[in-house]
Amino acid sequence: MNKHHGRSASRLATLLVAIVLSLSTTAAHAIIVRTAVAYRPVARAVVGTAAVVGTAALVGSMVRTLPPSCSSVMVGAVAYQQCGNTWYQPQYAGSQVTYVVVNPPAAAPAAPPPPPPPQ
Amino acid sequence: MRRLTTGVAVVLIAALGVRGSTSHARPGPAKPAVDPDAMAALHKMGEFLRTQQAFAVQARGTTDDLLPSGQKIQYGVAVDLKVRRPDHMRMDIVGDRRTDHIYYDAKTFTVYSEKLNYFAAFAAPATLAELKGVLEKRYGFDLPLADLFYWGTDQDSSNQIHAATHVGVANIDGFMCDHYAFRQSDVDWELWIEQGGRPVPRKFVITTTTEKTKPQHSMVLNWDLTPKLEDHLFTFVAAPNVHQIAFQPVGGARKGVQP
Repeated sequence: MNKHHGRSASRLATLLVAIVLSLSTTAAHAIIVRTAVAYRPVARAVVGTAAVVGTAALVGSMVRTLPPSCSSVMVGAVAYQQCGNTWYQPQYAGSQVTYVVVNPPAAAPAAPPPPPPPQ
Repeated sequence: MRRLTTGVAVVLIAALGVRGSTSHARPGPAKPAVDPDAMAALHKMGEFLRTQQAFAVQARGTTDDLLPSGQKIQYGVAVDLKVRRPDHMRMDIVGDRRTDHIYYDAKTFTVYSEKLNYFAAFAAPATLAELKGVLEKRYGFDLPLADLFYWGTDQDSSNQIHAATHVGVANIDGFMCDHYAFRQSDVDWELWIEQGGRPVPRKFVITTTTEKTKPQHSMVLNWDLTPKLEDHLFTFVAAPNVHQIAFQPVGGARKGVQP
Protein backbone atom coordinates (compact mmCIF):
# COMPACT_ATOMS: atom_id res chain seq x y z
CA MET A 1 0.00 0.00 0.00
CA ASN A 2 2.72 2.39 1.01
CA LYS A 3 4.67 1.34 -1.99
CA HIS A 4 1.75 2.14 -4.22
CA HIS A 5 1.35 5.54 -2.59
CA GLY A 6 5.04 6.17 -3.03
CA ARG A 7 4.87 5.45 -6.72
CA SER A 8 1.83 7.65 -7.22
CA ALA A 9 3.39 10.50 -5.33
CA SER A 10 6.59 10.05 -7.22
CA ARG A 11 4.81 10.11 -10.57
CA LEU A 12 2.90 13.21 -9.60
CA ALA A 13 6.03 14.88 -8.28
CA THR A 14 7.81 14.14 -11.54
CA LEU A 15 4.94 15.62 -13.48
CA LEU A 16 4.95 18.65 -11.20
CA VAL A 17 8.67 19.15 -11.67
CA ALA A 18 8.27 18.88 -15.42
CA ILE A 19 5.56 21.50 -15.48
CA VAL A 20 7.46 23.85 -13.18
CA LEU A 21 10.57 23.48 -15.29
CA SER A 22 8.67 24.17 -18.48
CA LEU A 23 7.26 27.30 -16.91
CA SER A 24 10.55 28.54 -15.58
CA THR A 25 12.28 28.48 -18.94
CA THR A 26 10.38 31.62 -19.83
CA ALA A 27 10.95 33.33 -16.49
CA ALA A 28 11.10 37.07 -16.63
CA HIS A 29 14.32 38.82 -15.76
CA ALA A 30 12.75 40.82 -13.00
CA ILE A 31 13.90 39.81 -9.56
CA ILE A 32 11.03 39.31 -7.21
CA VAL A 33 11.65 38.88 -3.53
CA ARG A 34 8.96 37.29 -1.43
CA THR A 35 9.33 39.03 1.85
CA ALA A 36 5.98 39.59 3.45
CA VAL A 37 4.72 37.66 6.38
CA ALA A 38 1.48 36.05 7.38
CA TYR A 39 -1.73 37.43 6.10
CA ARG A 40 -0.76 40.75 4.71
CA PRO A 41 1.64 39.73 2.01
CA VAL A 42 3.10 42.35 -0.26
CA ALA A 43 5.03 41.39 -3.35
CA ARG A 44 7.94 43.64 -4.07
CA ALA A 45 9.80 44.07 -7.27
CA VAL A 46 13.44 44.82 -6.78
CA VAL A 47 15.80 46.47 -9.20
CA GLY A 48 18.76 44.59 -10.57
CA THR A 49 21.86 44.13 -8.49
CA ALA A 50 24.57 44.80 -11.00
CA ALA A 51 26.65 47.86 -10.38
CA VAL A 52 26.92 50.27 -13.23
CA VAL A 53 30.62 50.22 -13.81
CA GLY A 54 31.84 52.25 -16.71
CA THR A 55 33.22 55.49 -17.82
CA ALA A 56 29.84 57.21 -17.91
CA ALA A 57 28.83 57.23 -14.25
CA LEU A 58 26.05 59.77 -14.42
CA VAL A 59 25.58 62.03 -11.46
CA GLY A 60 22.36 60.97 -9.79
CA SER A 61 22.49 57.35 -10.93
CA MET A 62 22.27 54.71 -8.22
CA VAL A 63 24.01 51.38 -7.75
CA ARG A 64 23.61 48.70 -5.12
CA THR A 65 27.20 47.54 -5.15
CA LEU A 66 30.34 49.57 -5.63
CA PRO A 67 33.08 48.80 -8.11
CA PRO A 68 36.23 47.38 -6.54
CA SER A 69 38.93 49.51 -4.95
CA CYS A 70 36.93 52.30 -3.40
CA SER A 71 37.92 54.23 -0.35
CA SER A 72 35.69 55.58 2.35
CA VAL A 73 36.11 59.34 2.71
CA MET A 74 34.55 61.75 5.17
CA VAL A 75 34.16 65.35 4.07
CA GLY A 76 32.95 67.23 7.06
CA ALA A 77 30.14 65.09 8.41
CA VAL A 78 29.27 63.61 5.04
CA ALA A 79 30.27 60.09 4.11
CA TYR A 80 31.49 59.34 0.59
CA GLN A 81 32.99 56.47 -1.30
CA GLN A 82 35.61 57.48 -3.82
CA CYS A 83 36.15 55.00 -6.64
CA GLY A 84 38.74 56.38 -9.01
CA ASN A 85 37.35 59.63 -10.30
CA THR A 86 33.82 58.76 -9.38
CA TRP A 87 32.32 59.80 -6.07
CA TYR A 88 29.40 58.03 -4.48
CA GLN A 89 27.26 59.02 -1.56
CA PRO A 90 25.81 56.11 0.43
CA GLN A 91 22.19 56.18 1.51
CA TYR A 92 19.58 53.78 2.82
CA ALA A 93 17.05 53.17 0.04
CA GLY A 94 14.56 50.42 0.67
CA SER A 95 16.14 47.95 3.08
CA GLN A 96 19.73 48.42 2.08
CA VAL A 97 22.55 50.82 1.52
CA THR A 98 22.78 52.05 -2.05
CA TYR A 99 25.20 54.47 -3.63
CA VAL A 100 24.37 57.56 -5.64
CA VAL A 101 26.90 59.08 -8.01
CA VAL A 102 27.57 62.67 -6.94
CA ASN A 103 29.83 65.47 -8.00
CA PRO A 104 33.14 65.46 -6.17
CA PRO A 105 32.69 67.35 -2.92
CA ALA A 106 34.15 70.84 -2.84
CA ALA A 107 36.71 69.93 -0.24
CA ALA A 108 37.57 66.59 -1.78
CA PRO A 109 41.08 65.57 -0.84
CA ALA A 110 41.80 64.29 -4.35
CA ALA A 111 40.61 67.44 -6.07
CA PRO A 112 43.30 69.79 -7.33
CA PRO A 113 43.78 72.89 -5.23
CA PRO A 114 41.67 75.82 -6.37
CA PRO A 115 43.46 78.42 -8.46
CA PRO A 116 44.67 81.40 -6.51
CA PRO A 117 42.23 84.26 -6.59
CA PRO A 118 43.14 87.01 -9.08
CA GLN A 119 45.11 89.80 -7.49
CA MET B 1 -0.45 30.86 -18.86
CA ARG B 2 -3.30 31.03 -16.39
CA ARG B 3 -4.33 27.59 -17.55
CA LEU B 4 -0.86 26.19 -16.91
CA THR B 5 -0.68 27.76 -13.48
CA THR B 6 -4.00 26.24 -12.57
CA GLY B 7 -2.66 22.93 -13.79
CA VAL B 8 0.25 23.18 -11.40
CA ALA B 9 -2.07 23.92 -8.52
CA VAL B 10 -4.25 20.94 -9.37
CA VAL B 11 -1.24 18.64 -9.50
CA LEU B 12 0.03 20.03 -6.23
CA ILE B 13 -3.27 19.40 -4.53
CA ALA B 14 -3.36 15.91 -5.99
CA ALA B 15 0.14 15.18 -4.74
CA LEU B 16 -0.71 16.42 -1.26
CA GLY B 17 -3.83 14.32 -1.31
CA VAL B 18 -1.94 11.15 -2.13
CA ARG B 19 0.62 11.73 0.56
CA GLY B 20 -1.70 13.06 3.19
CA SER B 21 -4.55 10.55 3.23
CA THR B 22 -4.43 7.03 4.52
CA SER B 23 -7.01 5.64 2.13
CA HIS B 24 -7.89 6.04 -1.49
CA ALA B 25 -11.42 7.11 -0.68
CA ARG B 26 -11.96 10.84 -0.55
CA PRO B 27 -13.29 12.07 2.78
CA GLY B 28 -17.05 12.61 2.95
CA PRO B 29 -18.77 15.84 1.97
CA ALA B 30 -16.45 18.60 0.85
CA LYS B 31 -15.71 21.23 3.49
CA PRO B 32 -16.28 24.87 2.62
CA ALA B 33 -13.28 26.48 0.97
CA VAL B 34 -12.79 28.70 4.00
CA ASP B 35 -12.88 26.38 7.00
CA PRO B 36 -14.26 28.46 9.89
CA ASP B 37 -12.11 26.48 12.34
CA ALA B 38 -8.95 27.47 10.48
CA MET B 39 -10.00 31.12 10.49
CA ALA B 40 -10.85 30.88 14.19
CA ALA B 41 -7.39 29.48 14.90
CA LEU B 42 -5.85 32.37 13.00
CA HIS B 43 -7.80 34.93 15.00
CA LYS B 44 -7.11 33.15 18.27
CA MET B 45 -3.40 33.33 17.53
CA GLY B 46 -3.73 37.04 16.77
CA GLU B 47 -5.61 37.68 19.98
CA PHE B 48 -3.01 35.81 21.97
CA LEU B 49 -0.15 37.75 20.41
CA ARG B 50 -1.92 41.03 21.08
CA THR B 51 -2.03 40.24 24.78
CA GLN B 52 1.76 39.85 24.91
CA GLN B 53 3.24 43.10 26.12
CA ALA B 54 6.82 41.93 25.71
CA PHE B 55 8.27 39.09 23.71
CA ALA B 56 11.43 37.94 22.04
CA VAL B 57 11.54 35.84 18.90
CA GLN B 58 14.46 34.06 17.36
CA ALA B 59 13.67 33.22 13.77
CA ARG B 60 15.55 31.44 11.03
CA GLY B 61 14.38 31.22 7.50
CA THR B 62 14.93 31.30 3.80
CA THR B 63 13.81 33.47 0.92
CA ASP B 64 13.84 32.44 -2.71
CA ASP B 65 15.11 34.81 -5.32
CA LEU B 66 15.58 34.55 -9.06
CA LEU B 67 18.82 34.93 -10.92
CA PRO B 68 18.60 36.94 -14.16
CA SER B 69 18.68 33.56 -15.94
CA GLY B 70 15.44 32.64 -14.22
CA GLN B 71 17.04 30.05 -11.95
CA LYS B 72 15.59 30.05 -8.46
CA ILE B 73 18.06 30.38 -5.61
CA GLN B 74 17.69 30.54 -1.85
CA TYR B 75 19.02 33.02 0.69
CA GLY B 76 19.09 32.42 4.43
CA VAL B 77 18.49 34.81 7.29
CA ALA B 78 18.42 34.75 11.08
CA VAL B 79 16.38 37.37 12.90
CA ASP B 80 16.49 38.16 16.59
CA LEU B 81 13.47 40.27 17.49
CA LYS B 82 12.70 41.94 20.79
CA VAL B 83 9.46 43.84 21.34
CA ARG B 84 8.04 45.87 24.17
CA ARG B 85 4.58 47.06 23.20
CA PRO B 86 3.47 49.40 22.02
CA ASP B 87 6.52 51.38 21.07
CA HIS B 88 9.85 49.60 21.49
CA MET B 89 11.55 47.21 19.13
CA ARG B 90 14.99 45.85 18.47
CA MET B 91 15.86 43.58 15.59
CA ASP B 92 19.16 41.99 14.72
CA ILE B 93 19.24 40.59 11.20
CA VAL B 94 22.07 38.38 10.06
CA GLY B 95 21.51 37.19 6.55
CA ASP B 96 23.29 36.25 3.38
CA ARG B 97 22.61 39.69 2.02
CA ARG B 98 22.47 41.94 5.06
CA THR B 99 23.75 42.31 8.58
CA ASP B 100 21.58 45.01 10.04
CA HIS B 101 20.53 46.12 13.47
CA ILE B 102 17.26 47.96 13.92
CA TYR B 103 16.32 50.16 16.86
CA TYR B 104 13.02 51.78 17.71
CA ASP B 105 12.42 53.55 21.00
CA ALA B 106 9.14 55.40 20.33
CA LYS B 107 11.05 58.45 19.12
CA THR B 108 13.58 57.35 16.55
CA PHE B 109 13.89 54.53 14.07
CA THR B 110 17.47 53.62 13.29
CA VAL B 111 18.99 51.03 11.00
CA TYR B 112 22.68 50.30 11.35
CA SER B 113 24.65 48.30 8.82
CA GLU B 114 27.35 46.51 10.75
CA LYS B 115 29.22 45.53 7.61
CA LEU B 116 29.37 49.04 6.18
CA ASN B 117 29.58 51.09 9.37
CA TYR B 118 26.74 53.34 8.26
CA PHE B 119 23.48 54.13 9.98
CA ALA B 120 20.35 56.00 8.98
CA ALA B 121 17.53 57.27 11.15
CA PHE B 122 14.25 59.13 11.08
CA ALA B 123 11.84 60.55 13.62
CA ALA B 124 9.43 57.68 14.16
CA PRO B 125 5.68 57.48 14.78
CA ALA B 126 4.42 56.59 18.23
CA THR B 127 3.51 52.93 17.79
CA LEU B 128 4.87 49.83 16.10
CA ALA B 129 1.78 49.42 13.93
CA GLU B 130 2.16 52.97 12.61
CA LEU B 131 5.88 52.47 12.21
CA LYS B 132 5.35 49.48 9.98
CA GLY B 133 3.11 51.53 7.70
CA VAL B 134 5.68 54.32 7.46
CA LEU B 135 8.48 51.88 6.71
CA GLU B 136 6.49 50.15 4.02
CA LYS B 137 4.88 53.11 2.31
CA ARG B 138 7.36 55.93 2.80
CA TYR B 139 10.65 54.10 2.79
CA GLY B 140 9.98 50.78 1.08
CA PHE B 141 11.83 49.21 3.98
CA ASP B 142 11.36 45.49 4.43
CA LEU B 143 10.97 44.66 8.09
CA PRO B 144 11.31 40.91 8.64
CA LEU B 145 8.43 39.40 10.66
CA ALA B 146 6.62 42.71 10.28
CA ASP B 147 3.18 41.20 10.22
CA LEU B 148 3.55 40.20 13.83
CA PHE B 149 2.73 43.83 14.49
CA TYR B 150 -0.36 43.89 12.34
CA TRP B 151 -2.25 41.26 14.22
CA GLY B 152 -4.82 43.05 16.25
CA THR B 153 -5.29 45.96 13.93
CA ASP B 154 -7.92 46.31 11.22
CA GLN B 155 -5.24 45.95 8.58
CA ASP B 156 -4.71 42.23 8.74
CA SER B 157 -6.61 41.64 5.49
CA SER B 158 -7.98 38.32 6.66
CA ASN B 159 -11.02 39.01 4.48
CA GLN B 160 -8.80 38.44 1.44
CA ILE B 161 -8.44 34.77 2.30
CA HIS B 162 -10.47 32.65 -0.12
CA ALA B 163 -9.37 29.24 1.12
CA ALA B 164 -8.45 28.04 4.61
CA THR B 165 -7.76 24.45 5.63
CA HIS B 166 -6.48 22.50 8.61
CA VAL B 167 -3.82 20.28 7.07
CA GLY B 168 -2.80 18.23 10.09
CA VAL B 169 -0.49 18.16 13.07
CA ALA B 170 3.26 18.62 12.99
CA ASN B 171 6.17 18.76 15.38
CA ILE B 172 8.18 21.97 14.97
CA ASP B 173 11.34 22.02 17.08
CA GLY B 174 9.72 19.78 19.69
CA PHE B 175 6.43 21.69 19.87
CA MET B 176 3.24 20.09 18.61
CA CYS B 177 1.56 22.43 16.16
CA ASP B 178 -1.57 22.61 14.05
CA HIS B 179 -0.73 23.11 10.41
CA TYR B 180 -3.01 25.37 8.38
CA ALA B 181 -3.04 26.34 4.72
CA PHE B 182 -4.53 29.55 3.33
CA ARG B 183 -4.93 31.01 -0.12
CA GLN B 184 -5.14 34.56 -1.34
CA SER B 185 -5.17 35.95 -4.84
CA ASP B 186 -1.39 36.25 -5.14
CA VAL B 187 -0.02 33.95 -2.44
CA ASP B 188 -0.57 30.60 -0.81
CA TRP B 189 0.64 30.42 2.73
CA GLU B 190 0.95 27.92 5.52
CA LEU B 191 1.05 28.47 9.22
CA TRP B 192 1.99 26.19 12.09
CA ILE B 193 0.40 27.28 15.37
CA GLU B 194 1.54 25.83 18.68
CA GLN B 195 -1.04 23.64 20.40
CA GLY B 196 -2.04 24.26 23.99
CA GLY B 197 -2.11 27.38 26.08
CA ARG B 198 0.13 29.61 23.99
CA PRO B 199 -0.97 29.64 20.35
CA VAL B 200 2.07 31.32 18.81
CA PRO B 201 3.10 30.92 15.19
CA ARG B 202 5.99 28.44 15.11
CA LYS B 203 6.52 28.37 11.38
CA PHE B 204 5.17 29.90 8.22
CA VAL B 205 5.73 29.43 4.51
CA ILE B 206 4.58 31.90 1.88
CA THR B 207 4.44 30.88 -1.76
CA THR B 208 4.12 33.59 -4.37
CA THR B 209 1.73 32.10 -6.89
CA THR B 210 1.86 34.94 -9.38
CA GLU B 211 5.46 34.07 -10.27
CA LYS B 212 6.12 31.19 -12.62
CA THR B 213 8.78 29.73 -10.36
CA LYS B 214 6.59 29.97 -7.25
CA PRO B 215 9.26 31.42 -4.96
CA GLN B 216 8.84 30.76 -1.25
CA HIS B 217 9.66 32.55 1.96
CA SER B 218 9.84 30.41 5.07
CA MET B 219 10.58 31.14 8.72
CA VAL B 220 10.69 29.04 11.89
CA LEU B 221 10.09 31.01 15.08
CA ASN B 222 11.24 30.38 18.60
CA TRP B 223 9.37 32.37 21.24
CA ASP B 224 10.25 33.79 24.64
CA LEU B 225 7.17 35.36 26.21
CA THR B 226 8.90 36.45 29.41
CA PRO B 227 12.01 38.23 28.20
CA LYS B 228 14.00 40.76 30.18
CA LEU B 229 14.24 43.77 27.89
CA GLU B 230 16.19 46.70 29.21
CA ASP B 231 15.84 50.23 27.85
CA HIS B 232 19.30 50.45 26.36
CA LEU B 233 18.50 47.64 23.91
CA PHE B 234 16.18 49.92 21.96
CA THR B 235 18.31 53.03 21.47
CA PHE B 236 21.16 53.25 19.03
CA VAL B 237 24.41 54.87 20.05
CA ALA B 238 26.87 55.31 17.20
CA ALA B 239 30.47 54.34 17.72
CA PRO B 240 33.00 56.97 16.58
CA ASN B 241 33.75 55.13 13.32
CA VAL B 242 30.08 54.78 12.36
CA HIS B 243 28.68 57.49 10.13
CA GLN B 244 25.15 58.65 9.50
CA ILE B 245 23.79 58.58 5.98
CA ALA B 246 20.45 59.68 4.52
CA PHE B 247 17.28 57.60 4.63
CA GLN B 248 15.85 57.98 1.16
CA PRO B 249 12.05 57.89 0.85
CA VAL B 250 10.50 55.85 -1.95
CA GLY B 251 10.50 57.83 -5.17
CA GLY B 252 12.18 60.74 -3.43
CA ALA B 253 13.97 62.91 -5.93
CA ARG B 254 17.54 63.33 -4.92
CA LYS B 255 18.91 66.80 -5.34
CA GLY B 256 22.65 67.13 -5.11
CA VAL B 257 24.58 66.43 -1.97
CA GLN B 258 22.76 66.45 1.30
CA PRO B 259 24.34 66.56 4.70
